[in-house]
Amino acid sequence: MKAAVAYRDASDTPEALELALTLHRTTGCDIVVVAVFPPTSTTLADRRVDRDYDDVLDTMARDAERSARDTLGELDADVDFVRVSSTAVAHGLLDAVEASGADVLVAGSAQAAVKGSLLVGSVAGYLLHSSPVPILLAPEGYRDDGARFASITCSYAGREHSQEALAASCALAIRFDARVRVATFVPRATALGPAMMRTDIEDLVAAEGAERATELHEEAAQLCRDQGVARVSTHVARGRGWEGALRAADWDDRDLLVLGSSRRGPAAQVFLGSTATKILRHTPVPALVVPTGSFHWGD
Amino acid sequence: MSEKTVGKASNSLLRRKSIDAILASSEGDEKLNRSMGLFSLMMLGVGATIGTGIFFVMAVTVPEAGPGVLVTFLLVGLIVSLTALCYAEVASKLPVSGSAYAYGYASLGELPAYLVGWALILEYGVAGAATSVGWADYFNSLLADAFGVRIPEALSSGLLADGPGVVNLPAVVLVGICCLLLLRGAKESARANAILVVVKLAVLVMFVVLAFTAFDTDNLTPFLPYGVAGIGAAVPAIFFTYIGVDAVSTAGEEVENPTRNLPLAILGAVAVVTVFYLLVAAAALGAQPAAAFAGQEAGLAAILRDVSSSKVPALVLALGAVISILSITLILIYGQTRITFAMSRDGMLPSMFRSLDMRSLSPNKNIVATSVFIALIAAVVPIDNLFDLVSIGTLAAFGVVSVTVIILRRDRPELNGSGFTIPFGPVVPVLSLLSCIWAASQITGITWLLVGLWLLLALGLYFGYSRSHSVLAPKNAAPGSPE
Repeated sequence: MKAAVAYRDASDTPEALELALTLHRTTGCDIVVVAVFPPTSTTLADRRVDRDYDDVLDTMARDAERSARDTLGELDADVDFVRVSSTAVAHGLLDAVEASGADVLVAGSAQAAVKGSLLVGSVAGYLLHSSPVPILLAPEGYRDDGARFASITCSYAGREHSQEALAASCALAIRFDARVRVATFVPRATALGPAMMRTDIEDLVAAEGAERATELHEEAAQLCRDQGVARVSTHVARGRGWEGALRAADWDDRDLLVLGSSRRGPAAQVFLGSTATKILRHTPVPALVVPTGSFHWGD
Repeated sequence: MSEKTVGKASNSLLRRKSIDAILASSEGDEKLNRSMGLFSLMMLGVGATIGTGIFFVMAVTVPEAGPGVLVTFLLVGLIVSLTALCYAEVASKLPVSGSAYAYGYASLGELPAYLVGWALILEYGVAGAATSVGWADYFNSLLADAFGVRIPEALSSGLLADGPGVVNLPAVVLVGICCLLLLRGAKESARANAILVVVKLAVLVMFVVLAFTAFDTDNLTPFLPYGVAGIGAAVPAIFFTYIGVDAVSTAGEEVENPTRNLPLAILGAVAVVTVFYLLVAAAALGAQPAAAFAGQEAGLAAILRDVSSSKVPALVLALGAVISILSITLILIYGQTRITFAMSRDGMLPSMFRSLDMRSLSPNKNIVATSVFIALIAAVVPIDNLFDLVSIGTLAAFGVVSVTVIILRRDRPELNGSGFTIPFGPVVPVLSLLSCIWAASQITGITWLLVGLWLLLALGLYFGYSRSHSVLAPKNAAPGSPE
C-alpha cells in the first residue's frame, strides 16, 4: 500500500505528516511526500525577471523536504519526496497520485479543507468529489501519539450512498484487525428563523431519521459479517446540529471515520451542498473520504 | 411511533392524541436554561412579526377602509394580543408540543385537528405564495429604478388577477430559489435573521421620515369614506401583517420568570409593532391621496418615488424589501414542509411527505412537492385573495388555540399553575374566540368558495386515506396498547 502525503511547509499542512505516521504504523505503507508549487519560469527571459521568486520557491521546497524527512525519519520505510509544478494545487496532487500509483492521498486538516467549501472550484470541493483515490484528513491540530487505528466507524446512509465507504471500512478492518462500527449521524436542526411554530417539529424529523437509520443498519451489519469482519456494532448518534451529532458518537481513542462522497459537478455542488463537508467540519477523529468510484484496493 | 401509546385507539372522529404522549414524545437533548430577559423576548416577538406584510397591505386595505385603516390596525393589534396570550398559556402548559395542529389533536380530536392542519397549510404555504407575489412587485420596481427594465405585464401577474397577466414569473422564480436553498439544507441562522430585521426596520424608518415630509392633512379626509363597515372589511388583510407574534410563546421555555414576563413581552411586542405600523400607514396616507392606493404595485416604493426628487430612496427601499422578503418566504415554505411532515408522521398524509434523504436527512420529496404547490398558487392567484386565504387559516388556528385554553383548564386541572395562566378567568379566551369569529366573518364571498372547495378536498382525503392510516386507528394501534 502506498500513501501520497500532501505537504508543502510546516504551517500549511502539519497534520498531513502526523497522519502519515499513524497510517504507516497501522498499515506499513510506503510514503511519498508531494509538494505542489507554482511552476517556475521556463524561458530564459522570464528566468532573469523571476529569479528571486524562483529562488524563494526552491528554498521552500528544500525546507519542506528537510522537515518532512525529519518528522518521518523514525519510520523504517522508504520516504520519497516529489516536487510538482502546477498552477492548481488539486490537479498537481492528483497528477502525483497517479504518477506514483498511490492508493490514498493524505491531505491534512479537515477543517482547513472545508473552509473554502462554498466556493466552486476550491481545492477541497474538487478533491472531495473527484479524487480517484480515497483521501485521509485529520482534525485541526492532530498529533500522532504512537498508536495505531483500532476502530473503524463507517458513516452509513444506505446502500446506495455508502456502499463503497462500507466496503473500504470492511477491507481496512480485516487488514488492521479492527472492529467496524456502522454509524449514522442524525443532527437535530435548529428551527428556521423566528420559529413560527414550536421547535419540536425538528425532533420529529430527527426521530424519523433515527428510525430509518436503525432499519438500514441491520442490513449493513450483515454485509460486514458476510465480508468476514469479526466485530461489528451499530450506532445512531443524535445531537444538536452536525456538531452535536458528531460529538455524540462515543469515539474511541483509535477511531478512524470512513465516509463516502458523491461525484458531483461544480453546479450541483453549489446548489445541493454536501453532507461530507458538514461531517468533515466537525469530525473529532481522522476521516477517510471515499469518493464514488475511488475504492479499488486490491488485496 | 411503535412503543409509546400515542392515544386511545378508537373509531371516533374525535379520537384524541394523549397529552402525556405529546409531553413524552420529544427526545429533548439539553434542557434550555431560563436565560432570556423581558426585553430580549419582546424584541424576538417584534422581529418575528414586523415587516413583510406592511410592504404590500396598503394597496389592498385603503380601497376598503380609506384612512380609517388606522383604526383597523389598532383593532387587529388588540385581537392579536388576546390570542397571543392564549398561545402563551397553552405553550407553557404543553411545553414540548407542536403547533396549533398538535394542540387541536390533543384538545379537540382528530378530525378537527386534521382540518386545522389543512388551515395551517393555508397559513404557511399560501402565505409563502403571498409574499412571493408581493416580492415580485418590489423586484419589478427595483429593476425599473435600477436598470430601467420592466418585466412584461403578461409575465408579472397571475391568470386570476385583473389585467392581462398570464403567469407571475418572478414569484415562481422566487419559490424556485427557496426550494433550491432548502434542498441544500439552508438554515437561516439567528444572526442572519436579526440582521434582516434591522434592514427591514431601517428601510421602514427611512420611509416614515421621508413620507412625513410630504404630509398633507387633506389626504386624510374623508377619514371613513366607506363608513364604519370599511374598518371591518380591512381586518383580514391587516391580520396578515401580525402573523408571527406567537413566536414569543415558543421561547417561553427560555425566559426568566415566565408568569410575569410572557404576558408583558407579548403585549409589549404587539404594542411596538402596532405603533410602528401606525407610523408607516399614517405617513403613507398623508403623502398620497386615498384614491391612489388602489392596485398600486410596490406601494411604499412608489410613494417614495413621488415624494422625493431622486429615485434612490425608492431603490433602497425596494432593495431592502427584496432581500428581507426572500428570507421570510424561505421560512414560510420551510414551515409548510414541517407541518406536512408532522401530519405524515401521524399517518394523515402519505409517507412520501416524511421520506428523508438519508444522506442529508432532509425531506427532499416533501420540499419539492411543497414548492411546486406554492409556485402554482403564486403563479396565478392575485395577492388580495391570498391575504384573505391566509387570514382564514390564521384565524382558524387562533380559534383552536383559544378553545384549547378552556379545554385544558377543564380537563387537566393539574396543569393549572404550571407556567403561565391568563388572569381574569375565561374572559380572555372567550373574547379571543369571539373576535376571531368576527374577524373571519369579514371575509367576503369568493374566498369562502375557495375555502369550501379546499375543505371538501380535505374531508375527501381524510375519509379516503387519513382516517384509516392514522396512528390512532384501531388497526394501526401497537399490539398491547389499550383499545
